[in-house]
Amino acid sequence: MFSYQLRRTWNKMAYTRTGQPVASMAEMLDKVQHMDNAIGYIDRRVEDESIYYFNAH
Amino acid sequence: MNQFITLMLTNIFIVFLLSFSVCAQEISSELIMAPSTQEENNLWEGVKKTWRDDIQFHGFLSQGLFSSSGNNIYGQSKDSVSADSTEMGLNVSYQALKNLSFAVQGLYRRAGANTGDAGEVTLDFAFFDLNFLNLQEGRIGVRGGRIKNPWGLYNETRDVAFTHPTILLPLAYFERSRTLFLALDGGQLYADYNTSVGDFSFKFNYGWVNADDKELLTAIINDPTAPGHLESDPSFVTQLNYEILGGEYVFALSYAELKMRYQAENMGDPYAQMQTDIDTFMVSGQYNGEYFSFTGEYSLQWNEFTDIRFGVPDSSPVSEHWYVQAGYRLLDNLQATLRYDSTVQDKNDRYGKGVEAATGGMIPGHLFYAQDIVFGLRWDITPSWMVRAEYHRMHGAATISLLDNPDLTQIAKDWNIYALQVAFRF
Repeated sequence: MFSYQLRRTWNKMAYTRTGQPVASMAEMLDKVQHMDNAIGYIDRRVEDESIYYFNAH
Repeated sequence: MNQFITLMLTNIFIVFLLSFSVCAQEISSELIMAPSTQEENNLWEGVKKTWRDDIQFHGFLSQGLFSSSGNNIYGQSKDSVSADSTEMGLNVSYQALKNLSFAVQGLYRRAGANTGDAGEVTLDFAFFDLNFLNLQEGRIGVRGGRIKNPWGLYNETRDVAFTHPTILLPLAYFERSRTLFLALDGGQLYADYNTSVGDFSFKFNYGWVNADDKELLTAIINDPTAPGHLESDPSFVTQLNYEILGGEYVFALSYAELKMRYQAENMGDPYAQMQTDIDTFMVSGQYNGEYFSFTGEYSLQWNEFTDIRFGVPDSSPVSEHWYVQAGYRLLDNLQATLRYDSTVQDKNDRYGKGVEAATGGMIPGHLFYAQDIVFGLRWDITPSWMVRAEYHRMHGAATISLLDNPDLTQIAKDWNIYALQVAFRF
């Protein structure tokens, strides 16, 4: 999936209000931790004990 | 802000496949995945929320500059430059309960003579959303209030510049039918179903559309002096949408039945009995690759205009709209778009020759068709700011506003549009 596809989904949610896009960094971390199979983008500068970093090239 | 997207996927295998392409794409981002436990299988369980997460604001604004030869578009653009195209929207949503939310969006819009210099403020949507079922595999619910119509790929977000590649939408979404298709007051049933072979989304809107549009009425009765207005009878708009790989392939089938009748202002109004029925479908397909995007939509529209006035025969023209569009991402934030677009108002009189002959040339034939070749460039400067420019080579003038072009004898058949737009969102 390409980043512009994610933007497309996000735009549709935010401007039709047919979904609640994730609103904050804390909420994103929380959702990814508590939902099965969830993926999410965060800023790489965020430091949190709950984040495990790995490389996938 | 645009990074904050959560995607729920049922198939862990697909998630892993995706994770590699995500990492390849977004070097500045890291993928985070947390191990899940049995207790956390309920989707929303354990999600702590602060009140800030329950209330969300989003907005957008855009300003266009148009210059044209031959005909006016969005103001006095002919051999000049018009800035009479502005759009501004603000919405707020409130997640009251786990399965109940409310949302409202207001829209300010200036679009040439159609809205006047001061522009107009409208309630774009306002609805409650009650969710009966919310699982990883899908969800089912209802919405009630004023709801956007799921029509083709672009109608629900047609006023949000960021959501479509060109400044002017394809001809199928032309200005004159904007009000009619935009939203309806009533209810919506929605159902999403996510499978390992793609995501299905179904919407069914039922209610009253906004038929009170002067341009639409004038186009039907050819009389700008009619004192009454059009009113909607119960109508519906429905769409089945199918997306593979989170939108790499998008397919949609939309169908609508819109019913209207003329509401007379006074006794003896000659149009008092007039009724209009529109049955129409649109098929849509889109491919979104790493560099290329291809989009095509085809629509047929059966119009029934009955009892227009004494002595005027009923008419039932069939309109046809279609386009093919190719996009190429020169850079991650720079996209070029090329489109061939066609609309005819009456398939049985493609070039309006019949109307032209019947009116002794008073109404030119080229008001009944348009072909448009578009070339556009879009630059997403930041996730919040975007600027784009485009050129249209027009043959035919079916989509022009007669309020911006009141003199029928002056309407050009072959003309050009140059447009520039700046847009912001949050």
